[in-house]
Amino acid sequence: MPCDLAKSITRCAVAQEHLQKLLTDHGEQVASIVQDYLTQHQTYGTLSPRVMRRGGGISIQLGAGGWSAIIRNGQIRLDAVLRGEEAAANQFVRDLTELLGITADELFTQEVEAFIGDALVQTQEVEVENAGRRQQATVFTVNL
Amino acid sequence: MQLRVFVLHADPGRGIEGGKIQIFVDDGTFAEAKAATLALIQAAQAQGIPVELVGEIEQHRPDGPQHVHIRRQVEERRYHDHH
Repeated sequence: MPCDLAKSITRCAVAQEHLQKLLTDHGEQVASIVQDYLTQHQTYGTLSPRVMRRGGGISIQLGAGGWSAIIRNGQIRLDAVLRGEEAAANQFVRDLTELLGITADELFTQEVEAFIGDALVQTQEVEVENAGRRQQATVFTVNL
Repeated sequence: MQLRVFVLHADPGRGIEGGKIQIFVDDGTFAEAKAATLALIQAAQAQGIPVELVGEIEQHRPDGPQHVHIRRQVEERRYHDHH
């Protein structure tokens, strides 16, 4: 539907803390996603990654005596990194940060869909132009 | 009255954060559209989704407000048969 039919347009947002909370609240699901990602990854998959829930967070072990990391409140903390491994360690944190960002986004979309519930008429996956940038979006058509 | 709720997806590799929504109302008067939008936001907040307005609820006009335009549809699922 072209936008020039719209009577009103409203921009809203949740704080990034809410997305981090979703990652914590769905810790079991997130741990499973991280395990699958690392296991299937071209590099990390060769290091026998182990992912488990621990102390309200998610702990990650890569290889025997290798890196260990903890995810808590959507943030990744990597334990001591040996000299010469800094670049690879930074890449690992970037990769996991990206994965967590996408996972939080999926959890948020599911949360919105669950909230809409029976009022949902239609769901569309679209590509939009947003302030000059292409972006993926899910459009929920809602009957009020 | 029908509303369209756009959940704009994160793209961390391009520095695009998630948690952003745009709500379009295509029916009724602007006052009715505004009331329906506020009702939806308040219902979401009551359900524990702490969504906040970014700016005002705006009446659509050709020179603004800044909002998304659909470039292409990837997939569609209808629920008429189930509700």
